[in-house]
Amino acid sequence: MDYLIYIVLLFEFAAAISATVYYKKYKSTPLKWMLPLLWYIAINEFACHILLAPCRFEILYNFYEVIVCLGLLIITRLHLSHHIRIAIANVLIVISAIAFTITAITQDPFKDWPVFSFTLSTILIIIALTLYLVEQLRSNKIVRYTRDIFLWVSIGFLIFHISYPVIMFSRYFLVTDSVFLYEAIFLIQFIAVIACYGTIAFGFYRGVHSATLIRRIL
Amino acid sequence: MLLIQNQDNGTLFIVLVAITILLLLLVVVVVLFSVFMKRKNTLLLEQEHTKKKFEKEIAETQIEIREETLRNISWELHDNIGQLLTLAKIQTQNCGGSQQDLDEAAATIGKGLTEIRALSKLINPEALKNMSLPEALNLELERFNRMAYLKPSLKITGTPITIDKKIETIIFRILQEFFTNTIKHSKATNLDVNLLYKSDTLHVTVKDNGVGFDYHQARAKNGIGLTNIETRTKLIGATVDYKSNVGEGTTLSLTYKPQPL
Repeated sequence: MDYLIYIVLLFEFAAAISATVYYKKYKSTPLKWMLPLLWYIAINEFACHILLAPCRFEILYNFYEVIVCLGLLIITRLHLSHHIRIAIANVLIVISAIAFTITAITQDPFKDWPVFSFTLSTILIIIALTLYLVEQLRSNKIVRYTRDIFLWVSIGFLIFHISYPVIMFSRYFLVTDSVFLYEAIFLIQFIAVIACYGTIAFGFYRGVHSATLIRRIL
Repeated sequence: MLLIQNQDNGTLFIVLVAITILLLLLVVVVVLFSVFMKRKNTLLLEQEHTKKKFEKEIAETQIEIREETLRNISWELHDNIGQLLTLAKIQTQNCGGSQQDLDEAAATIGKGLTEIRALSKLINPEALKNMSLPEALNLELERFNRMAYLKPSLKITGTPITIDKKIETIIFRILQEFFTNTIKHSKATNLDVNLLYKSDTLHVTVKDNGVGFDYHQARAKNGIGLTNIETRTKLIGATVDYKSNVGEGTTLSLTYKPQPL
């Protein structure tokens, strides 16, 4: 099963490389902050699974969860323009930050993994991304939505964040010694991750320059 | 051992079902989003095209109105002011130096000047912009009265409602078209204009006692006057109706309900 890790890393790097290659398309939008985030995700995974393996540095994973969750929430919030939705997104960011802070205080960040704050943040990310979809539906601009990079990125992260809590809870709460079960769940997680980063990588390729995203009628 | 294996399979099944259901929900959301976005884009495109079409029609109508105004000026200059000045010329030529004849000639020239001023006011879009519909109609009907074309009357009922200036100008031009037809073709002696303002609607009724016309016959001839009236009425979202029979005069009813564009 180890080779699956390499495939996951391949997809994560593919997403980061795709974001770098097509940077011109979105450099003037808040999506530019996605580039360092994607590189961070890929490098962190590479460091944890290849460079530092077999030791498990829980603090690296914990930092990773905080940065990715808050990063995604902030990037999504930057894509919103309606004041009410912005206010809701701000509240989501604050809730997520508080949850991570409480976990950092109550748990040992060097040993424990922030199950509840991460699950909560995952739900908050889903809500934030839904706000973005609502904003797109309510806008009175003719958007070429199939060419919207952030929409593809949103769908990618939605695939991951919808399936990940189930995977995580099944790991943490269904205590069993079965290797088969863990491997099967890992396989599901693997599929979710490659679907997520595959969609993101494709989104950067498929998306168009932000200036041409809104259709103009001549 | 077999029991543990069955338990694992059950757990895995639950996890798989849960994830599948959630991902299916995501697919449903994405499909619905796509459908709604497509529909929204289509609606926005249609709206934009309608707006552009409306603007184009407004521009075309304005050009039409301008051309028609020029035709009217030419007609007024030739048949009205031209006649007055010709009369004044004859009067001065034949006066023989008497003060009374000179006064008559001066009065005729004065009439001509008044007509030029009235005409100038009515064809000046800026002057028209500063006038309300009843004011513009009053000015036009006064002119008819002075020129003794026919005996006009204007009745205003209710409190005038707010109508966009562009629309008001088009309504005035529609009525002007009808007046021109009445004077040119109907041989009418009376022209009654009735403006009825309701809380959100304007009803205009114009009635003459002329020879009348057969609407279907006139339509078949593709008369420019009728076409102009109907096109402009449609353009501003108003409705127009004619009641006319040969020998029974003509009544035009126009109803306009202001709507946000």
